[in-house]
Amino acid sequence: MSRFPLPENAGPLSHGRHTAVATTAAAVGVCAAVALTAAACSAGSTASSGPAGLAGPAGQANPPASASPSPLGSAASGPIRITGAYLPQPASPDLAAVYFTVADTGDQSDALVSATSVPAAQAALMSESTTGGAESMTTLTGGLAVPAHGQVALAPDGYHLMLTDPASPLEQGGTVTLTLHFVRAGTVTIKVPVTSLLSDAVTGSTAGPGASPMPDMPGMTGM
Amino acid sequence: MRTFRHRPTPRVLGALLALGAAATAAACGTSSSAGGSGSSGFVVNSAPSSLFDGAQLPHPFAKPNLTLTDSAGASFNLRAGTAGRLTLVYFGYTHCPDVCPTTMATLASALRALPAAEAAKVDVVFVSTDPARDTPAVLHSWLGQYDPAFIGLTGSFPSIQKAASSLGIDIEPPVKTAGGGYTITHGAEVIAFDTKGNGSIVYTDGATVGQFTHDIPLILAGRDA
Repeated sequence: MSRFPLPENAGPLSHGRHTAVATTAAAVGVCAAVALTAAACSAGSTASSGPAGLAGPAGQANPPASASPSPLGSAASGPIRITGAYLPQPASPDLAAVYFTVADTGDQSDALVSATSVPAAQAALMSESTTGGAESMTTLTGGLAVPAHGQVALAPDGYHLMLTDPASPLEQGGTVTLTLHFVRAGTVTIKVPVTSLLSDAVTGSTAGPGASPMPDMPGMTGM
Repeated sequence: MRTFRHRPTPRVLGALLALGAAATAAACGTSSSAGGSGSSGFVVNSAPSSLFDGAQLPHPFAKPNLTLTDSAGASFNLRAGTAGRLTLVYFGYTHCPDVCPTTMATLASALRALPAAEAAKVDVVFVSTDPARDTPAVLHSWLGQYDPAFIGLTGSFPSIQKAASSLGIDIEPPVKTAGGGYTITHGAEVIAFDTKGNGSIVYTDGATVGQFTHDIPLILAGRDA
């Protein structure tokens, strides 16, 4: 279990970094980023709001046993909405990444500062930084700021929640229960589905992770 | 919104600017791939004749003459071992939770989407930036889950670092952190070498399956513009 110092002012730190990143993203015009956000937003609009206050239960429903893709995890507590949560089955037994979008529908910003998980694992919020064509991960020691009336996405190649040394193997079809700790909203518990090994492949589609994998579609070649 | 911060290396950027390209052109919807799924990770192609979704370099990289150990424990020379094949090179490590798995998942998905005859002409080479922990057996197990045909290379860190540097990728030796873990650098780019060994197309983080399935047939067909 990782705990970060509570940020005195969670706003400028990661938000500043996120703003800089968002500017870069806008400049480069990455459709996938927008698509993922759009997908997350539309998933979020149907998430159960649950009771106001702490420890809102996860709102994930089981899918019908047909061809529809498994839904991603969602949960809410007070003004905080978590949507699009998933954990791609990791290729390494030692760590995994969890992705989701956090929205703050309220008038005050908040910050995600720590998380615990079942199965037990160390959890740390991470980001990537790049110099000279290479990257490395850094721990977000100040937590991850969520702007009022705004959101922040943890998505492949960006922010992620890293789980280290999970107590049991994380395999597709399973579930990880995360308890996320926010400065203002308190705890939010969410059931996160373990999706396929290839589910963090960047498809650029609006279907988002967990949807039918595009690679199996015929006719994709020579586009 | 997804956090995308991985602009190409300064060398790539300089080369592309030298072409007079608009380095910050928005890419959405302008990719030449059909179906609207293509969004270039980095689009510079203000020239309308641009063929590839990846960023095409005016001066291709040479394939590094790099000899390491592969995931079967055998000596492997990158040039000899991938001669005549479209080679996609990525520098990563297996204790990487996010970017390296995402890159391998994207490449594996792209190869699965291509006709088998074309995919068979492509080598994906994963060169470890953490050779102390990425033994051949670890690489075999990690890479094999994405595609048993992916080539994993490990060995002398200085050799790896030098090869990466020749491709504009500056990796640092692993740094032990206060918490007992390591900070490892990994590549921000996949570099595509054509069948002649010219590394002329670069895919930055966020490159999509569609970009690879679009470009690979063209590269195999010997298209260069």
